[in-house]
Parts: sequence; C-alpha cells; structure tokens
Amino acid sequence: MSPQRTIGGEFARSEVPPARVYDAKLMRRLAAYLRPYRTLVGLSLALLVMHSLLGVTGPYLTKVAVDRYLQPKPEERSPLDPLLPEDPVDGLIAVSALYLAILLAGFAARYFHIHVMNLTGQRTMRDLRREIFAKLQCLGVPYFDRQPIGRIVTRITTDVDVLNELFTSGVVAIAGDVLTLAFAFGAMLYLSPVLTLVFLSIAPVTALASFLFRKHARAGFRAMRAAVAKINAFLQETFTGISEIQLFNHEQATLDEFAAVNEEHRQANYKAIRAHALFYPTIELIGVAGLAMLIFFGGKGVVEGSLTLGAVVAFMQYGARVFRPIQDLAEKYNILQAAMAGAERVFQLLDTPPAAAETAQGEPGAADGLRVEFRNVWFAYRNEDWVLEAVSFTAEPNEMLAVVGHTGAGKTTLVSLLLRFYEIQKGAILVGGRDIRDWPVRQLRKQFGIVLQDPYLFAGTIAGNIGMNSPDVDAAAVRRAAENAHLAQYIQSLPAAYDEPMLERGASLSAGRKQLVGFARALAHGRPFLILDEATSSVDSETEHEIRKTLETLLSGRTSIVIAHRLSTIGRADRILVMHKGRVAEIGAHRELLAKGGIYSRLHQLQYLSESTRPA
Amino acid sequence: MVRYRWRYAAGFFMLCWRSGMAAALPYIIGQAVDYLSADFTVAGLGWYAAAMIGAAGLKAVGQYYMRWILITLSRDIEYDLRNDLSAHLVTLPKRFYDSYRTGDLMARATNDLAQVRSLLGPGVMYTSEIAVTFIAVMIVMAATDWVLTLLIFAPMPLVSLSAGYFGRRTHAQFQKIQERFSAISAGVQEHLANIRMLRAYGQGPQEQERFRKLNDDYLRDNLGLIKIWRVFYPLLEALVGLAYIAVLGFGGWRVLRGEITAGTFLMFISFLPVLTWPMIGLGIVVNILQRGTASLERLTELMQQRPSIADGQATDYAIDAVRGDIELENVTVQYPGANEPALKNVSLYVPAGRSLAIVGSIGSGKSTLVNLIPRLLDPNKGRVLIDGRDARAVPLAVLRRAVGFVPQETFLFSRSIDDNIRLGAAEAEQWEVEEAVAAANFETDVADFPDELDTLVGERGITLSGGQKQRTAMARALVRRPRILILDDATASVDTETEHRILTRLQARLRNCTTLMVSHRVSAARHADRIVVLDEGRIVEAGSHRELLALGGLYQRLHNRQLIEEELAKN
Repeated sequence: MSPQRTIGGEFARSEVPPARVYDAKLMRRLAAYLRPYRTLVGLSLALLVMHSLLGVTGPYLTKVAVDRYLQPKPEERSPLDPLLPEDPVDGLIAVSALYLAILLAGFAARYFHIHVMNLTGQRTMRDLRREIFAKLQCLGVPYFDRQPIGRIVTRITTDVDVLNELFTSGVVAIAGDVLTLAFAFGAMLYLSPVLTLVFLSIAPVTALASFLFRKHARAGFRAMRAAVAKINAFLQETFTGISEIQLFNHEQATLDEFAAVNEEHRQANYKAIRAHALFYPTIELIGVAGLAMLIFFGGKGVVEGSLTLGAVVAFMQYGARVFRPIQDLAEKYNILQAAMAGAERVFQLLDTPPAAAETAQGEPGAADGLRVEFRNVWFAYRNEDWVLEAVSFTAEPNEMLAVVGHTGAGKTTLVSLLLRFYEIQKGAILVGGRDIRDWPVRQLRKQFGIVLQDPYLFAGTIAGNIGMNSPDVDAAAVRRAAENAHLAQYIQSLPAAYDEPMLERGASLSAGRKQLVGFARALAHGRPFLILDEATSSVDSETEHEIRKTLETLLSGRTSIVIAHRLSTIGRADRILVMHKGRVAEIGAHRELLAKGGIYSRLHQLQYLSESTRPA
Repeated sequence: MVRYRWRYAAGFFMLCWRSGMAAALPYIIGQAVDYLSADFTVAGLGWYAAAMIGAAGLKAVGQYYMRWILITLSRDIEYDLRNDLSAHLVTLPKRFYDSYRTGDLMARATNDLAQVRSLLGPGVMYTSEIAVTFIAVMIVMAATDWVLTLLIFAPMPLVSLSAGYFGRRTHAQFQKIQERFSAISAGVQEHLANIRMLRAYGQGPQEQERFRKLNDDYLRDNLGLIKIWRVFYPLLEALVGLAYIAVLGFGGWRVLRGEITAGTFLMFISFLPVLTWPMIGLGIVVNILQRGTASLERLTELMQQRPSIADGQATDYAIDAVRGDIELENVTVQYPGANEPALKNVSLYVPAGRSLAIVGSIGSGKSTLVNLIPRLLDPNKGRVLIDGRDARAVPLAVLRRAVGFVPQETFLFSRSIDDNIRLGAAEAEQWEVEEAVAAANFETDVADFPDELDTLVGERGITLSGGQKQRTAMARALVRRPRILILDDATASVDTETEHRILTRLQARLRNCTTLMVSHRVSAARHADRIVVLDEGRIVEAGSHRELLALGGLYQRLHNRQLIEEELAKN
C-alpha cells in the first residue's frame, strides 16, 4: 500500500513494460520471498476467507428476517430456525444481534487481515532490499563503472515498492475478490439455482466487455508508460544540464520540446481515460440489467410460489456485490503490469553473476613479511587497450616507494589492482609473499591503510569518520590517531568535540583538515601497508606543516606506496618508481636515478629549481 | 484554476445527472420490491425492469461524460502545470540547483505532480460524487420515511470526524515515510558513489548495518501508516453494517407495528448497497486528498522560488549587443552556509578583445570569478560591469548570447554531437559547425565516429572521453561566435600538446574576442595578455608572464611544478 514513486530518468531505456502481465516463472520466484512468512501468509488468507465469508451473510440474515417475521412463510425453513425465537420482536432483536456479532467479527477479521497482510508485504520488501544491498557488496567495481548510480538506486527503492504493491493491492486483493465472488455465487446457488442461472446469463457479456477493455487498456497503458519514461528522461537531462541550457539561451527550445513530450503523454492518457470511462458504466449497466432480470424472473418465481420475497431481495443484494470486483479489475491490471516490469528489473540485478574478486574465499592466513611485488603485470580496462604493460617492481618491507608520472601514466591503476578492484589479465601481484588471488579479498584489503586525494567523508560524527565504525577501532584508538594527526587540538575546540557532526563530504572542513582526517583514519586502523594518493593542489600553509609531520608518523614502520605530487614527498622516498605510458620507465634510489641521467635526473634539475623558491 | 471553471461546471453537471440517476435506481428497485411484496402481475414487473434499465442507461451516459470531462480536464491541468513548472524551473539559478538534489526535483516534477493531478481529477470527482450521491439518496429516502433515514444517517458526523482524524494522521505519517524513503535513496547513492573507499576499508558489514537501519526505519514508519489504516478501513465498513442493523432491527420493528409496509422496509434494504460504495470510497478519497495536498505543498515550495537572477527593474532593454569590456569592482561572493567568502574584494579590468588568465590552486575562487560574467552567480557585494554598465542592466538573454562558456565539467545531452554543438544556436550553418569543430581540434576524432557529427552521445550512442567532451563543449561555445569566451579549466582533460594546438588555433580565431581563461596549468596561461593569481579568494599577483616570474611568488612556484609535469609527459 505504499505510494508509487518515480525517480531518475533511466525509464526511457529500462521502463518499457513486458508484454505479459502474468509470468509464471516470475511469480514463482516472487512467491519464494513469502516462504519465510508462510505462517503470516496463511493467517492472512484465513482472515481473508473469514472476512469474505462474513461479508456474504448479511443478505441472508435479511432474508431470514423477512421470510420468518415480516412476511411469514411458515413453509420456508432455514438452518437458523432453532436459534431464533418465535416472537417477531424478539426474533428481530435476535437477528439484529446476530448481525452485530458478525459485523464485529468482520471488523476484527479485516483489522487483523490488513495488519498481517501489510506486515508481510513490508517485511518481504525489507528482505528484498537487504538482499539487493548484499548483492551489491559482491559485485565488482567494474560493474559500478558501467551502471549509472541512479539506476541502481531505483532498483532498490522504487522497484521494490512496486513489488509490495503487487502483493498487497494486487494478488491479495484479487484473491479477496475471487473469494467474495465465489461466496456470493455459493449463497445464490443455495437460495435458488434457477435464479443463479438467470443472473449468470450476463456473464458472457461481462467477459466480452472486460476483454475489450483489457485490449484497449493495454495499448493505452503501454503508450502511457513510454510517455512517462520520455518525460522523466527529459526532465533528468534538463535538470542536470540546466547551466548549459541557461548559458546557451536554450530555454525556449527546451520548453517547446518538453511541451511536445508532454502532449504525447496527454494523448496517451486520453486513450486510457476513454477506455476507463466506457468500461465502468458499461459494467454497471450490465449489472443493472442483471438485477432487472432478477426482479422479473424472481417476481415470477414469487407468483408461482417457487421463491420467497426475502430470497429475491437477498439475491439482488448478492448481485450488487458481484460487480464491484469486476470493475476494480482495471485498477489491478495496471498494478500487475507495473509490478511485473519491476520484478523483472530487480531479478536482473540479482542475477548478475558476482565478481570473482569480491567473493574470493582464498586461504586464510597472515602476511609473510611486508613486501609488495608486481610480476610482469598486464592490465586493460577494456579489450586490449593496455593501461599497464609488463609492469614489474617491488616495494621492500618498511620501504617508502614514491610513484611519479604524468596524468594517465597508470599510477592510480596500480592502486586499484593492488586492492583487487580489477582483475589483471597477465602476471601476478604479491602482497606479503602471497598472490593476491590467494588472499580472502576482505583480509587482503584489511592489510592496507588508504588515503586518497579526496578522502571520503560522510555525514556523521568526526569520530565516526576517523574510526569508520570499524569494530577493531575503539574510542581510545580514535583519540590517539587524532593526536598523532595533529587534529586533537582542533577537535577539542569544536562544540561537541569528537561527536561534532560533519556534513556530507566534509563540507565544513578546510581542504587541509580533510586531508588530516584521512591520515587520522589510516593511523587509527593501524594497517601494515599504506597507500597514499597525495593531493595535487597545495593546501593552506597553516596545515601544510601539520600534514608533513603526520605523514612522517604514518610512514614509519609501514611499507608505503605513495603517488607523489609534491617534491618534498618525493625527496623523502627510499626509492622512486617512474611510470611512463603504462610502463616502468625507471626505478631506484634517488642517487641511482640521478646517476642514470634519465627522466628522473632531468626532473631533479627542475625540482631543484622549484624547491629552491619554496618557502621553508 | 479559474481558466477551467466552465469545464468543471460541465463535469459537475454530468456528475449531478449521474448521481441523480444513481439515487433513482434504488428507488425504482425499491418500488419494484414494494410492488413485489403486495399483489402484482408479471407484466407490471416487466415495466419496472424496463424502467431500471432505462435509468441505468441514463446513468451510464452521465457517468461516461462525467469521467471523460473531469478526468481529461485533470490531464489538461497536469499538462499545463507541468509546462508551467518546467518554464519556471529553467529560470531558476544554479544556486537553486545546488541546493536541491536532482532526484528530489525529479520526484516533485513527476510523483508529486501526479498526486496533485489525482487530487484535482479523481479527488474532486469522487468527493463530489460521494457528497451528491449521499444527498440525493438522503432526499429519496427521507421522502419515503424520514425516521428511518435519520437513523441511518445518524452516524454520519462520526464518519466525517473519523475521516478528518485519520486523514490528518495519514498526512503526517505519509510525510515521515517520504523522508525515510529519501534517506534510503540518499544512503544507497552515497554508498555507491564511494564504493572504492568503502571496499578498501572493508566497510561492507558496517554499511550493511547502516542500510539495515535505514531499511528498518522505513519499515517501521510504513507500519505506522498501516496502524492507521487497519482501523480506518474496517471502521468505514462497519458503519455501513450499522446502517443495515438499523434498518433490519428498527425498520423491522416498525413493520411489525404497522408503521411502514414491508415494501418500504425492503426498499431501504436495497438502498444500502448504494451507500456502501461511497463509504468505502471515502477512505480512498481521504487518501487521495491527503497525499494530493502534501504533494501540492512540495510543488508550491518550488513554484515560490523566485528566480534571483533575471531581468528586472534595473534592466535596460535598449542594450541589444555586448562589446566585451569586463570589469569587476570590489566583488565579494559568499556561498550560503560557507564560513569564508569565495571571493574577497576582487577588482580587475579586461578591455574588449584582450585576454586574461586566472590561475590558482583548487578552491581559490577561479570558477566563482568566471561564473559572475554570464551571471550564473551575482556578487554579494561590489559590481560586475560589462561595457561600463552594471551587468544587471544588460538583458540576460543578450548577455548570455554574447558569452561562450566552456565549463570544467560539461554536460552533453543524449542527442547527436551536431545537436550538442548547436545548443542555443540552431540557426548555425553546417560549415560554421565544422569550422568550430576544427577550431576545437576535434575534427579527427569526429571523423572516427560511426556517423561523424550525427553520432549519438550517451548510452544509446558512444561514450566520449573527458578530452572529447571538453572539445565538444569548446565547439559549442565557438559556434555561437561569442564576444566573450570563458574557458574554465577547459583543457584539463587533454595533454599539454593538444592543449597547445587548441590554444594556437583559438588565438587565430579569437582576435577580437575577450577571453577569460581559468587554468591550473601555466602553459595555458602564459600567452594571455595578463595573468592574475588567486589565493583564498584574493588576487595576490597580477601582471604578464614575465613580470610574474620575476616576482618569484606563487606564480613562479606553479610554473616550476608545471615544468616537471611537462617533462614527465615528454618522451
């Protein structure tokens, strides 16, 4: 029963509904999600049966009251007779009391049914969301490179909501309708088989009307979905590209195009409206025709003595009840169609094979030493566009290896491969003497402390951002790390100190402080290896000094791979790896490389020039 | 809503017609039953049956037109609203778009708009239908027996009270749920945007825990809504049932006392199904109305945003062209919520046809400065002068027509490259587009695309690299033959060699065009007539390349670092 929502503009590509409304395979798979709640589902169904059953007793009670007390037909017996007193007034009171009891029971049944049904739906939805989120954890980074974030968000939010609707408003409601129909027909058959047949004679006409409606509605519905998809896609682009639209005086053209898409949507709706506007009155008209026949033939029966007046009246009430569910069919049809489309998309995500890297079990075990080694590594993001070619090098235990190279030389790729975000095509990478493919991937990543150019800071407390809510980092470790990162003083000056809330992306912190939080995070986690992607831009002079000192602490006792941009950082390195166009151009200690007279030595001359003008 | 009043009136007329017939129908049925309970003939019954079908036919006609008029009307209103909304949204400044997430805007323009449509169409229709049907049925019933009628309608105040009460609670709960839903979306969004860092720190379990909490919160608040519904819906059903009991018990008693005939009694019984639907419908209507008004609030919030950057009283519509003189006079810009201004007291002057390079580290205010020229942003203090006049005096369309802007990160629409280049310059000749492509050093890339300039961009077409995107943006800016060209770090994604080639070609082409060039690379800046160095929102150095090098300050340090980069890139 939750509202349908639409987000994002990817509908144009993926929101086109499937041709079928009912797909047995999808349904079976969806039903599997109800299995943990089979008790609740059973209860829900039982309550539904009870509610529908109680619903059809009303007209029968009226009949009993009429035939026994108001226009007595002594020959007419009912199973309730032994319960009912002879005196008409007492009898009426008894029937009314019985009615009231049934009403209360019906209220209770409906109350619990709504509760149980929605509880089941909501829980199923929660489970499905969890499953999708868990699934995302075992998909590889390459998957996220390909899929727009908005689309995945839609899968886990809107599409799951639609599935809930399928359960609560679709399947269960249809079951309820079917039950009401069945019970009403049962009661009618019990009262008079002949009159039931008379009434049923309108069934073929109803079926024909429904069939025609479905045919038209389907076409209208599809056109509508397609138009909505276009509107969404268009809006998404307009909002994202608003600066371009405004800068380039494109407003009017945009609005004109939008009006055209909007008009398409309106026309599609007109079709659907006509179908609905015809369908509802037609069904009602057929229903009244049925009632008219009941009166006519029922009256004839009363004259001939084969029917009682009460029976005819009860019959007419049953007849009235049969038509509401048929009219509602239109609504449910839409829900089913939307839900099937949603289910298909959700299952498509769930069926994506997990990335081998993310689920690698490997052999548990500790690192044997602190060496990192690349052995003839070849890697391409796509096909054979090699980003790394035959890269071999080692970072010795406790060594600081500086990686230098121009933009696009493959520096960042080295880091991604080391953390096994991508699988290499050839060669091997060894961390602590073990091939990274033999490590359980989680354990592998736990070996590294990582500081990126833009440290990911999330909305939460400052302590939470340093400790990242890891179970192995306690409050004391967070404080120690903050002190070592020269942040303690600043944090103490904040109103809530360590519990100071931070804005998303750390918007309230200066660039330098953000960097220090990143350092503190790496310190707090105390990992044996360090990966540092130094920020390209110079930070304010205020924090520059603190950053240098913290870096010193961070580097000691760890094997570090530092993507270096600043000369002061390169100067501190034990060895320097010069990357050039995906290959290792030079590697060695500062002096060795100078003596070699290659790229690095040329760099050094410039460095000297640069460094000499730098304020101390 | 005034413009739709006649159609609403027509719809309302059909609605009254339909509801009148809806009340007449049970009356005929009741009469028929009354007739049945006394002496009757089959032929007479036939007349009743015919009258029923006739009334139902008239009702069907009324209902068809009612639906057709009112629902198409609501679609027309939706159409107008959506056009109005988008017309309004394109006038809102960048600052507005920075403060609303795209997903939120999308939700409002689609989901909330649909809810408002439901309010104005089915909401209005069902509400009036229920009200009119009730009144019509009440009149017919009262004419037959007012005592029993009074009894049946006695619980009505209770119904409207409970509808009001549950409606308010639904409204409040629904808003909570909307917020929870947004939190889930934002949570997943944040997670996906930072997936690498989270993986690197092994945050899987913590993130799952965080998500579990969001998910559970959403579940809890949804169950809160169900707590309301599970009472409200059965309550409405039960109230209908009470009416049955009233007729059965009290009506029956009066039959026994001879105050009414059995026929009247049965007539009342047959009226009750007509009342059932409005009662059940009331629940749906309450839902539609509450959601619709909640959504209307969210839409109104958008519509009430005033375009802060627009033509106004200060505009001098006599200005129809721009020469290209640019001056900043003590300009200070502070973003809302920021502690420090992004620009502090910046003054500079660029004569028409000259070029200015702006260098500085990230966050020094370079982009903010150039955003002032086409008025993507207005200063908090100080003035921006174009050709010696306050930029606010220049009609916005004239000003922007004169500016070619190449942003840091450009947005390409999922259309052909040609369409993207012609953005806002649809009248450009083919050769002009080709010339612009050549000037942006983009022609060899274009020649390699499957359909050349007609190649689609985006998911259904090809994915462009960062450098290709920037060169498309550059061609887009050039094709409109700007008086002022702004390059906001526009060559960051190409290597220095390509950059050099682009800049040389540009210079040949832009001899009398004022150029503002933001760059973190000195190589791009050195050829400009003048260079300013920004640091923390202030101009700290200004002069020519030579002068600045001689100064031995920030510019020189940037320059040296640049040389290292170049050396690395060289073979």
